[in-house]
Amino acid sequence: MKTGFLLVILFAGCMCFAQTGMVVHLKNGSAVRGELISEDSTGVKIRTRDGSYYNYSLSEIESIEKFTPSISKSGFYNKTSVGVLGGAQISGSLNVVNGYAFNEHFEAGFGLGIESFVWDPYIPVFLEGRFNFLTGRTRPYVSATAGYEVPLIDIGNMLGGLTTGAEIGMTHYFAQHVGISTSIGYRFLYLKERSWWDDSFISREMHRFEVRLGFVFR
Amino acid sequence: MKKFLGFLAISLLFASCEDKVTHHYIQCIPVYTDYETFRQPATFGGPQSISENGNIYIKDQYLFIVSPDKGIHFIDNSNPAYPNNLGFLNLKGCTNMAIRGNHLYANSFIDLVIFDISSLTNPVEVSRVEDLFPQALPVMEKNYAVAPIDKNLGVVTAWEYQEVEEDFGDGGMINWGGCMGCDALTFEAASAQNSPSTGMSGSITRFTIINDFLYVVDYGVLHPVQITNPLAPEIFDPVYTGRMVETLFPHDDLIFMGTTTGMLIYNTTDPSKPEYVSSVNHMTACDPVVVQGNYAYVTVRTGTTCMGEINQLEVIDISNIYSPSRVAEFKMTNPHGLGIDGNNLFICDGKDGLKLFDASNPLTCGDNQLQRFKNIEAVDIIPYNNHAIVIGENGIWQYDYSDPSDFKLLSSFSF
Repeated sequence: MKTGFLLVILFAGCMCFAQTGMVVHLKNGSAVRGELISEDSTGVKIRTRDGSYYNYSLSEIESIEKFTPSISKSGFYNKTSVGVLGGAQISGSLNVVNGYAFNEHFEAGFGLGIESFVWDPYIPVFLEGRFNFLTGRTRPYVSATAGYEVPLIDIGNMLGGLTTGAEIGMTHYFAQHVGISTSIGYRFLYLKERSWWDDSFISREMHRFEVRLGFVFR
Repeated sequence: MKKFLGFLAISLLFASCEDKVTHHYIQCIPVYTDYETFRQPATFGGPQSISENGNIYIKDQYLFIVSPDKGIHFIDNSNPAYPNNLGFLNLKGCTNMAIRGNHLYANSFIDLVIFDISSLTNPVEVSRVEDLFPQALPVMEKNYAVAPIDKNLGVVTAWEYQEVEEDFGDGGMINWGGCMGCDALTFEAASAQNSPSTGMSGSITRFTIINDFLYVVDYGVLHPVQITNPLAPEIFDPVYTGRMVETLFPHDDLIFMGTTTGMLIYNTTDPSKPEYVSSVNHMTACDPVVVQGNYAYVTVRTGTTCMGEINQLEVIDISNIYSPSRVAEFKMTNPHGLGIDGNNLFICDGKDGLKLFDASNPLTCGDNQLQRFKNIEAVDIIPYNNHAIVIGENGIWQYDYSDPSDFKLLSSFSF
């Protein structure tokens, strides 16, 4: 059951938002994108987005393929994700990362969010680096984060602390600028809080696995 | 399938892994002095520089300043403009003192020690009450945890500080060996009282004398000591107050106690057995008290060992000692000691300085500030006969306040 749930989470990005658009490439070099209405031994009929219908004979057609949105190779991106952190305790997480894609493989960003540990809220402030293995619409990736958990309440007694982690995941772009991302990962946290006594504090070393689901805009 | 089984196993591994909770703290490790060495008679030596604040006490023209845990400075204050440092009584573990007649009573860690001070340049230890304060411990730098103490090894006369890391889990506690409020045992003094034979201390003292009895408070325990014969003081059963008592103030035959949770009134109708009369409670804080006429003045403060969130002056109507009532409150910054002489109410308001209020109407005294000396981080004060002796975090000041609107600085000394 649990495995099934994880499967759904992991590949949600792939299964959702499946494309139905097709592109007919003509021998004259042009291409027409739309919904394929019919296809037989004589040719194809396609309806474009404006509702027009076009018929092409097989002799005019170079190829027919599923529409693949072109994704910018570099530029700014935003990833907003929600997650569940599990381990000794289960808590929620909301992160927003704004970054820059240097090329189709390497991305780096700065993140903020809100998370909860031991019933206390924190703002994670972190840097994220990401490597995409593939460059198509579906991009498996690995990423690493490092930063600081800033306490949101009782500042002074709650000292916050380091956070670092790694993820493996997949981003699927279902439109030219929008994709969905899923991941699983590991987080290590070292949080500190003052104790009752002078010059004393309590540290917590925490290990968490995390499952995240989010949207990517680029 | 194998991969997902592996992932599932890792997830379960994390789920079963508890957070590692570690307490990082400084622990006081006791340094012992064997009993024989500890109880060697105290010695009196030449003047030593006064380097820290402590209990202050006046008797006749003499001023005494306790150097916490080290001893007592003897100062001839005949001319307050030029105080003359006579010498230093080396008395380990001394934090409080009182004088009656020619005898000085002081604590030395667990013992009460009595000196004949007929000659102030040659005080002589004449008797010692052993183990009167079994809980006494050296002053510590801060509010630290204490390692277990083995009294078989001797008297704890110092601390070594050690950084400790211990894994307790969420429910664990630091091994607290005691000494909550040790800093209050440390010093403080100056209030008004006394017959001509006794001296006068500040408002934060733990020693006080009423007639033939010396009363010493040790945490929540009040020790009555009959000192009719200083050479053979008689110890009576301790009185358990049930509170963390920090200061004593005598008024007629009553003892007013400042505790961390309020003011207590005990009578000394039977001087060997003080009895509870009444109390006024407040939130947890430190609170010395002084009394004049039908009113008690209490400063309530927060601080290192003084938890809570209140810093104020409280005026308590004690015209009916069986039913004292708080009649006024005035916000302060971080009030420590206080003193009253006639209509002059002095508040040592920590970093906010020394303040003088007109107490001709006790109900509005806190609104009638006459003077403020913000350059003095005052801790305690003895105001007496238009002469104020102020001790602060970094010095001693003496003023002539015969004209409250025109304080005259007689002398000052920086630590």
